[in-house]
Amino acid sequence: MSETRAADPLVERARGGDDAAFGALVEAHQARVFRAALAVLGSPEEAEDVAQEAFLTAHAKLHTFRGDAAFSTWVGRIAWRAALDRRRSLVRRLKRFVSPPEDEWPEPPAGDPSPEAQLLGREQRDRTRRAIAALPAGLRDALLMATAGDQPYEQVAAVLGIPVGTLKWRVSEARKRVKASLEARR
Amino acid sequence: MSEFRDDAAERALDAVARAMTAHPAPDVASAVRARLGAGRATPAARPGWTAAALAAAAAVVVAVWLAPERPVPASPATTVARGPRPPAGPAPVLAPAPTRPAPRVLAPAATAASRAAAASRAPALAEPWPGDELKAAPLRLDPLTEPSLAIDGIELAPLAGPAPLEFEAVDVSGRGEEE
Repeated sequence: MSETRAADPLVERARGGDDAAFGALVEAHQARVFRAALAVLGSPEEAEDVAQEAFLTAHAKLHTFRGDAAFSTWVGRIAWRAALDRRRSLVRRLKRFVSPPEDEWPEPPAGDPSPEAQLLGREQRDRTRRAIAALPAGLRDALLMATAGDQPYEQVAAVLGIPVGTLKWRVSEARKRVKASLEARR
Repeated sequence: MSEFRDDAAERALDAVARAMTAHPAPDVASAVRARLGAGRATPAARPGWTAAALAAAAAVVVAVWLAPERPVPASPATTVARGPRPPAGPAPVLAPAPTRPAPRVLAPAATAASRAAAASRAPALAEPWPGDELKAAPLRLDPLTEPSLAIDGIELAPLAGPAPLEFEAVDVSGRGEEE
């Protein structure tokens, strides 16, 4: 929240037509917006496109931003809706039907697994990732957004447009199903 | 005992989920700045400019389409300051300009009334001119006064005939008796 409050002057300047201020806003929130899009789409390339579209939409509709929510929540919701639209698009479904991606949510290029993940071993990590990818979209989105760690539950719930309690239930339900899936395969 | 029944295992699950969205964020800011700059540098991309440009183009097209075709009058000023005359050569054979055929005027149909009117306007040709009666009179030869006729040197005596007729003068004025 402190980051958002610090960006408020930037929002006011961007409203006045200061593109440099808007550029600073993009730099401050691009990682969060990109991860939200990636949680929905699973493709870094598509998530980058959606992030760009979301910021351009935010720039065009900045005059409608009333400041009731934080700018990060507002632009995160724009990105979320854009990502959902792309996931539902017929063109994307046809593309993935013709040439399905080898692996959804691939490992980060330079990301070493965390100490907790190292406990599982590589094979167990792959199985866990596949189990998460196989979750229903609503549960998977909630789990990935909540575990990303850069937004509190309240803000994630605001971006998803659901109550905080619903978000917590979806995250808990997602964990249960992943566990059940992994135990069933043992 | 499943490995997911303790907190460590659950934290491991969350770590895997976190890693699924842990890709380094691309430089979205630069791309957004470039696209915003490109949008501002193109005034035609703005809806207002686009509409105005389209309206102007449509007006020009309509004006050209509705304008009547007028011949360009020859300007006498264009005949001044010509260069040297080119050497005489065969005159170009120009095709005759297409001329419009003269309108065909139809004579009005002659009617009986028009013929009667024309006859009344014509001069009275039946009235004789002076001297015409002489031309029409029969030729009379006086055998006494006429020269003799000779055929091959032999004179023939004039034929005897009745004396020429003599006419008395007749006063037709009606005033002779009184004087």
